[in-house]
Amino acid sequence: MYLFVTPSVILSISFFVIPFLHNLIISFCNWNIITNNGKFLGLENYIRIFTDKIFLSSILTTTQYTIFVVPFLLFFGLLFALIVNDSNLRGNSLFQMIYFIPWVIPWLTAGLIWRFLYNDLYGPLNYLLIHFRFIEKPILFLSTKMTAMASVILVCIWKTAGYNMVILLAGLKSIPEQVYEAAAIDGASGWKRFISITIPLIRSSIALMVIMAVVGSYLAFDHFWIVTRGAPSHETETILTWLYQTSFFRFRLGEGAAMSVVLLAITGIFAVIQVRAFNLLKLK
Amino acid sequence: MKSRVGTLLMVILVFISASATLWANGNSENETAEEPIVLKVWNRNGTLMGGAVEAFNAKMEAEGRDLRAEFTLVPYEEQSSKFLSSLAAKTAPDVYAIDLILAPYFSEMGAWMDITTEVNNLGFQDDLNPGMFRIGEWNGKQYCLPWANDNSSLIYNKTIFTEMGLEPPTTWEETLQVAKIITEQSDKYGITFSGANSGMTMFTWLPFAWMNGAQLITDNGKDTTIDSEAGVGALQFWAELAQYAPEGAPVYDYGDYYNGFVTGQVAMIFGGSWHVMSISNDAPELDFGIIPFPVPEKGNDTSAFMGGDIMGITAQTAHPKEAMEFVAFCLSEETQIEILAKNGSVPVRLSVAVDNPYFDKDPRYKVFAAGGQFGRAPKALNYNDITTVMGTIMPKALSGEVSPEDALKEAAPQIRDLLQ
Repeated sequence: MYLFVTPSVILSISFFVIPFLHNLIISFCNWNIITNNGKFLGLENYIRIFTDKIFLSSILTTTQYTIFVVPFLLFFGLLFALIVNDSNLRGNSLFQMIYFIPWVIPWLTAGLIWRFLYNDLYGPLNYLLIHFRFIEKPILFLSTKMTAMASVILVCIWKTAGYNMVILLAGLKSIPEQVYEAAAIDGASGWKRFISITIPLIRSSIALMVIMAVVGSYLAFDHFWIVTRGAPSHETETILTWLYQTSFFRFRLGEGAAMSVVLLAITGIFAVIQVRAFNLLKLK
Repeated sequence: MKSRVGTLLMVILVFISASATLWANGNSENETAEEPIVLKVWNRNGTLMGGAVEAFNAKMEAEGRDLRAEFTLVPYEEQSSKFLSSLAAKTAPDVYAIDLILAPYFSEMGAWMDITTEVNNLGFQDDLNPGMFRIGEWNGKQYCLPWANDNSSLIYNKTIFTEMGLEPPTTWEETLQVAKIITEQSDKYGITFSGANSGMTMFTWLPFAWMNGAQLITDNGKDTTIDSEAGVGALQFWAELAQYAPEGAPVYDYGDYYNGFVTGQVAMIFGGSWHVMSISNDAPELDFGIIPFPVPEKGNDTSAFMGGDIMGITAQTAHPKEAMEFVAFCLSEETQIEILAKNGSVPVRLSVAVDNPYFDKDPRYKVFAAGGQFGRAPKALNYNDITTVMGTIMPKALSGEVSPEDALKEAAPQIRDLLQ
């Protein structure tokens, strides 16, 4: 029986356990990548990263980003899923495709497109807003932390709402039509049916989507890297953008490894909390 | 009987196939031995290094030699990460030409082969750009040699200047004046910056600090004078200039800054040698000129950031002699003219850096080439750490969020800590 799980165990050990242990060792050392060994430093790398203002700020920024972006992703994902699941809607497969298209565009391309759109000098967004007299002066989308974060959140919603729609749509499709018919006969309104039937029955799809969105948000890299580049003054660095710069731009491999251990701990804790929370809801 | 014959046939077949396999293996080993040595060469510029590799291979073929080079393009952003990974995996290239500011870190960690003796036997080492040559030296040993030179200067839109009856500025005061006139009297901006890109900001701002008398890293490599009156003055000049830039310029990345100029909406940028070719390709109609960076006051010397790539032979190479032959080929006058100058990059051989047939045709390159002779390049183990500190304060100073003095007071102690 153990033979069946052997391939996945081998893969997990090769591509997760061994690299993780290697990374863990590096996080306690001043590592020389050429000789592949290092001087043991104890907790020095961890002390350094927890006194690094930009790293601490990046944890806060990533958390703020996650708190704001996940509800939006759930809202739009669910909204799009409900729209395309409506069999009375003409051309719903066309809508499904339209909502999903941004997901297949690479993050790099999407980031560059949005950075161009946001520009205050030649960006089409400011041009249109000024042209139709919504504003008089261009909006500096990327000049303050708040506007820059909002701009990245918009990019993320545009890019991933379609993907989340697919996850939630799978849940919606699994609900038998008879359940709704029975509720309608009992006189349940549309809203009541949504709250009492749809949401409870797609709970596992919502759980999956939310867990993936939270973990994905903590691993945010590409869109921040391209759209804000940490500006202004590293205020929009995420854990991963700062980790990357620390390891490969500032050449502090030990500190970078320590940051990745912290990131793994954060995402791991969140995943466990969420799984348990959704299990509790299931029991109720 | 039949089964015996069958068995015998089987044995014969197995013997024949085994012999054939052994013979084939032996033959392929012989073939391997005859295969040419292939040097792995990495760089971020496909036109320049790719061109040099092609020319080298053509030469080797013409000479009937079993030596070839194979080029791999390394994206700018991945120069260090890809090299670090390859060093760890023992798959480093034989020759790598890297952004010169990154080289000292790799020299310190032992990534390069010591080529001091080979360099002394080159015969033309004194003709190599001395500033770049200095960056390739570490702890008294020569690890890297200059390959391609990129310097900073001021690029201006000639059409805007002519239409407004303005002359290109030569002093800081004149620069402020023309930027003000253009911004206030036209629908264009005087200048723009790339405030969010710390590398580009240092490439263009540091010369102003140098010409005013401040040093990011002092000559002994242990201190900074960036928070001196001279440093504050240089940042004050940029902060004043930023009033005539698009409001978003303090957080612009490279693309925003570059597009502002090529779309004709900005009259001046502080740029590098590569801009001549890239602007000519992206905006063929744009008439632009190049001048050295304006000086604090008339009579002062100008300055430039001496950037570019330096090349080293990695310590993991199995072909050090052949790799050195390739390096020497890259640094020959012919390669430097026919590959570098022809493609808009400043040669590192002083004898042909300014005076060569391609720069004679487009004298704008000569301004950048001159910068290679008086320019400077910071040499530090952790230069990127220092630029990270400067990259944090620059947008604040340019946007007026903090005064230049306070910004540099915030940065200097951090830089001193890093230099200790």
